[in-house]
Amino acid sequence: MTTPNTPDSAADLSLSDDERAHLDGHTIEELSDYLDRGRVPADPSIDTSAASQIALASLARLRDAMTSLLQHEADQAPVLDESWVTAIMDGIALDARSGRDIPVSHPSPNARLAITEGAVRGLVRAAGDTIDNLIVGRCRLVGDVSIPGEPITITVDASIYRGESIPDLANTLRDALYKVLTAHTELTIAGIDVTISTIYLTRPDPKTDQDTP
Amino acid sequence: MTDTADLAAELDTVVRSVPGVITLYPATPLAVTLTRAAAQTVAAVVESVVNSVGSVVESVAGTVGGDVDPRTPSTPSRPLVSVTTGKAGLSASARIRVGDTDSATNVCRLAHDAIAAHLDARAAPIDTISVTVASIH
Repeated sequence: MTTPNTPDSAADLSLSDDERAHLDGHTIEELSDYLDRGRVPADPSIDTSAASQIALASLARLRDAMTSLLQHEADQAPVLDESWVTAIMDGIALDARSGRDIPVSHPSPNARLAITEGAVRGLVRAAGDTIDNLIVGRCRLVGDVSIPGEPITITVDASIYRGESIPDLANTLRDALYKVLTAHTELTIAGIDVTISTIYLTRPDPKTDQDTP
Repeated sequence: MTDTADLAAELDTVVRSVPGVITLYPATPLAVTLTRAAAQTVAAVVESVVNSVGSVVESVAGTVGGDVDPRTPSTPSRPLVSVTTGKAGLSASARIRVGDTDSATNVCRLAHDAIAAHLDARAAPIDTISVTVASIH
């Protein structure tokens, strides 16, 4: 496991201090409210902010996952740990900020091309959230992403259903992340470390489902 | 508009037409833009007060309202591509959102190439062309 040595590590300790700066003047709660209102009335300061848009996309996926979970768990274990949801939302806020610029190569000496770290984290989160029974909590790019060819380790915290195979889901996640990262970036990926940080709720018992009319 | 503003508007259209580009973001975040607009507004207010008290309200509304059209955030009244003039030539800067079906790095290069081709066609000397992929989805 690589020790995080990026500015992300310090940011973990002080999310509330400059969360508005991370999200171009908004908090994750304000973005969640905006999503609740169906993004109406339109707020240009949100709609023209890349960080806010990345966070909104993550919030929307989290909301879909939560809705699905609650429907499945309503008759089984309706105790939802709110701190878990808060942690996920904090992770969304941290991951959405622009962060460092990751260079994109071009033969022209006049070209200054880059992908923001926030865009890549959003991509990683989106890819992870497409995997059934898994929700991405945090994502970090460990290493100096501003140097082309520098080995970078991707670290991802994720939550899964109790009862799922942790190694299987971790491998599925690694494969999905490697695929999108190689498709969209020029990062030299040294490794993808997956940590299952939370195992939440319980999966519905298929027998119970079948017995239900 | 000035030549630079005209060129920025043209490049705005050029970049939006690049396959894979979903939309543009301001080269500087809107919060910063609005802060600058607020500063401009204060300056306008002070000047207006000196000249005529009656022109203050109109000046404030004109300065703030002209910066961004809140009804259509994807097509603001000012181009989102930034163009500045330096000693070595023009510098153009764009922040883009790309779809996840096309390679973000390829779309980024295509956006650069489209800007470069447009500037070449106008025989404009180029200092730098900056394209940043700010989101992928």
